[in-house]
Amino acid sequence: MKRFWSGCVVVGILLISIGFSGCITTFTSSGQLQIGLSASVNETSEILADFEASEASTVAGDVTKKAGSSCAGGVCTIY
Amino acid sequence: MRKRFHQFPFEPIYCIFVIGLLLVETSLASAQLRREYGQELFQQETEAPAAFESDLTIDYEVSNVFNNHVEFGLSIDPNTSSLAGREDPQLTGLINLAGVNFQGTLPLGKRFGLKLQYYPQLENYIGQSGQLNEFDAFTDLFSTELIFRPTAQLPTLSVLHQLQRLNRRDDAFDSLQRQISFRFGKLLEYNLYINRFDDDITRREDFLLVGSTNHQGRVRIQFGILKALLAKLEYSLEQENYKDNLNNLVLGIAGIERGESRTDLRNFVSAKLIQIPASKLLLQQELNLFLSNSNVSFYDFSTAEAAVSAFYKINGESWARLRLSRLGVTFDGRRVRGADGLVDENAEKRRDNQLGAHFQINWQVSNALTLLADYQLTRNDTNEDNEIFDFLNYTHNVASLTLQASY
Repeated sequence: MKRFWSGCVVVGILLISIGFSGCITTFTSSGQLQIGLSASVNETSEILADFEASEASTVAGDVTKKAGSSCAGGVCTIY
Repeated sequence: MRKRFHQFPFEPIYCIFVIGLLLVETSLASAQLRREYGQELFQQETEAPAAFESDLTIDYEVSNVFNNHVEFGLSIDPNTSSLAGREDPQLTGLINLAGVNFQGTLPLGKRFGLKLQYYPQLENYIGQSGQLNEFDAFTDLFSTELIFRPTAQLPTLSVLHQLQRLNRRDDAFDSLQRQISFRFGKLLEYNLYINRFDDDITRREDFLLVGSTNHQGRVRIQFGILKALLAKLEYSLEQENYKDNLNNLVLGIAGIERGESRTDLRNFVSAKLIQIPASKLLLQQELNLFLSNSNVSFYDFSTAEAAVSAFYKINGESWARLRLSRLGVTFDGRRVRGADGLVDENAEKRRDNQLGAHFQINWQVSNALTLLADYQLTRNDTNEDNEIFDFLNYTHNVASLTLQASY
């Protein structure tokens, strides 16, 4: 419960910071929620779109998506 | 609970009041600044999205992959695989892939669209003395996505249903994965993955060979800091529940009682900083944290990854990309074994360290033809001293060449 209310306070502080700092909140053409200044990176930037398309969709560090045993000499080792 | 709450200085009603007040003040402040500085400061120019149009694309893809540790991507079940009795755990092979990706869009009125995809693919494994032939496969993917665009300013809402069938020569792998997703642009996403094997009775050696159900929620926000500086934050929470048709070896090591099943709760946080110092150059630094909590302590682990990337756009669809990374994995529920094969009372946690390099170059040969060369190098080191875990100190090389034709 303490964590929940701490989280609410943090969200509140974040909202007021956004409001008073003059930040704008917009949805970009690719459907991203962007918080920033008017001079921020243009989401339609061609190089940014190409870079995002080249990124692999795998989650870094998720070892659950790899095989978990290795077999040799008739023995399997769970790792 | 009541006593604990009183120790915290905020009463619920007070907190709700404060948050409500903050929201009202934020709104008033925004309105005031808008009047003073003009509307254009607050509204990024948004291009009116085009209406859904009928569209059909066909992509042919042929790929050749060299992999010197094929076994890390495949589960080899000693109950069914002829490879289980070999002396060397390492498997080196060449994987040839050929697929055709049919994608189409159908407009359904002004605000609705339907996207359809069918992607059959053949996988051919070549290893020494034909030892990898049992992994030859045919995969079949069919997906349907219904998209709703409420207004020109808001992102799309979509519902996706996807079926993916995997058919290997070794029937132990044959399975069907169903995915159901709800998305609100790239901001919010919920995915349900249901993976079922044809044979869910035979007791298996690996959790990747038993069925599972996965619920995943994801939220993404990006921050435009400067004209050429962008930050991205992503958080995802996932719960995966596995079937229990596992053999006694896995059940014993994992400490799973008969009738119990493994359930993992995974948290993933990613922070990225993107700079565009020149029109053709993009740099990215990222930090990824992954925390897995399982009711089976053997599968409790956390990972931290730091990575830097450089992306260079050559021209048109031609580009090159380099990513360097360092990843640390800590298995909280595992202790390293001594030279005698036993675990001491004060033994340290099992830890792996990985250094990675990933280089890609995508070359547009003609308007309809592209060639992608890809090389990944991973060096893994473990703190396990026992010789049975020697295979975890490895260097993994994956090199591939992909030719893609679009119509």
